[in-house]
Amino acid sequence: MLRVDQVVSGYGPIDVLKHVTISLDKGEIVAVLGANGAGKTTLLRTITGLIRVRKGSVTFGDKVLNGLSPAEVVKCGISHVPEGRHIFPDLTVEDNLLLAAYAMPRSQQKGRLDAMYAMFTILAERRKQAGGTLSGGEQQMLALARGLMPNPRLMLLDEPSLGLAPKTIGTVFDTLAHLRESGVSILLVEQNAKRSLELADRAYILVTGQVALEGTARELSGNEMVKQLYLGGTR
Amino acid sequence: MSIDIFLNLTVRGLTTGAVYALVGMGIVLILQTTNVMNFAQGDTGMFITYLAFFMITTAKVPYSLVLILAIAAGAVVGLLVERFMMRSVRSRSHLSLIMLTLGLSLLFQGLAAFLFKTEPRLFPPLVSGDPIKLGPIILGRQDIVVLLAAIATFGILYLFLYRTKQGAAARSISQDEYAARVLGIPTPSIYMLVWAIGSALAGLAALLIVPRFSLEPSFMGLIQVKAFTAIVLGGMNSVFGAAVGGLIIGVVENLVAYQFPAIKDSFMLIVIVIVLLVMPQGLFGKRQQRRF
Repeated sequence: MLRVDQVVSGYGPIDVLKHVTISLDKGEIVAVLGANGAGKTTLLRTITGLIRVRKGSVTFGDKVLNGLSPAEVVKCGISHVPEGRHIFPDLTVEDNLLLAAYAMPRSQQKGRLDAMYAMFTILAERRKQAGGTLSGGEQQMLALARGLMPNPRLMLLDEPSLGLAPKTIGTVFDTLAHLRESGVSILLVEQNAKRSLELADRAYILVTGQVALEGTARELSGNEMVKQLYLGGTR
Repeated sequence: MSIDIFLNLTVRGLTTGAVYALVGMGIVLILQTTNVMNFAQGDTGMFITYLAFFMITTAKVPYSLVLILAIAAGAVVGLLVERFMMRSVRSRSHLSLIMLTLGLSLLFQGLAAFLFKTEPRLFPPLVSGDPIKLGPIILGRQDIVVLLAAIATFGILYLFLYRTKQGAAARSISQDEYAARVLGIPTPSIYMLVWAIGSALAGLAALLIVPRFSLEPSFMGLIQVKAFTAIVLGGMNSVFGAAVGGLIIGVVENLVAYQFPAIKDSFMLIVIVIVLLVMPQGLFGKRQQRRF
């Protein structure tokens, strides 16, 4: 469904991604692991159109995404939940959600809003509250709900567990598992390699902007190097 | 100072303040959404007022139509400025954006001086007739129009910001531009819209106040400085603050000018300094607070 083919992209004079090729099939959860600076976030930003593709191509279904604006990419059915949540602090929970479905007609927005409140009951309770007053975990739920608002076929998730309490991390991953059931594909960037590999079908490991390793989650979990470097394994 | 004089000074100050509020609200709208301090706000209005002047005097277009055309012309100027000046520079350098607006201000002044000459011209008021008496208060008809226009503008801006999805998008951009782009909000078109509204306000404001002065290329200069004072007092990031700040500045200035005419204009600059020192967030501003 998603194909990132030999993509080069970066900031200013620097190429961060150097000929990265990854793919994702419908219904899959694919994890992208790697150290800080490996290019994980850059990969997501390139897919969403926040950064230009310099070489190579990004295709979704039979649509080429190269050169599209983030607004157009969202219309194609891809949503992006950024690292650090980026909730609008002074807007209400409801406005935060509605803005995530900006291009959607009002009648459909209402239905999506109800669906989100059904899935995240805490957000229904807080709907008139300013986004900045929510706790970290609640903000992450809001960020996830914003990602789901436009009814995407593919969600890009950047570090959804970063800075959360262990219990809340559990809730986040449970939600992701639940989303898979409902048919949303997920491209997941995570520091928490252990949990990601438990959840994901397949994974890629990025090292300095290149795919160093790829395989099913099971294969990678059993790989000695992965154990050493990302799973905190002991000899 | 007798109570009658005090009342008259206050009410007349409010009408002057309404002018500062009109200019200030446009500046805050653009500042908040696009993060650019538009130093050309006043002179955009000045230039449009010249266009309006020739529509009225030479082309004999009816005044009400001129008012609508001036607002439309302001919107078009705003669109063009955003599309062809701001957009290409935005991603490169923020400081350059602000310098661009300064340059734009000089461009409008130079163009006006070149095309229309610098000699002052008398601009007819929208409504003429004898001043209206309300008890001891005497008010010019145009002053009442200005006051009503400021109130209406505030209402329209409020509805735009809090009742439309484009307004919500503008507020979201002011809080977190990156997040707005990530969510797929078409930020370029929101920027264009906001520049159009802000510049339309510039045209409206200048047209309404020019009868009180005379039309010349520099007539908006001091008014823009007062509008900045109003914004600082009101708290930089709130349209409401700009409106109230403008009214307060207008009244205080008028009272000070009555007692100490010599320091009328410099007094407001002192106010800016004091406000920035004592309460930099202004009367209605919010301190930025974010929680991740």
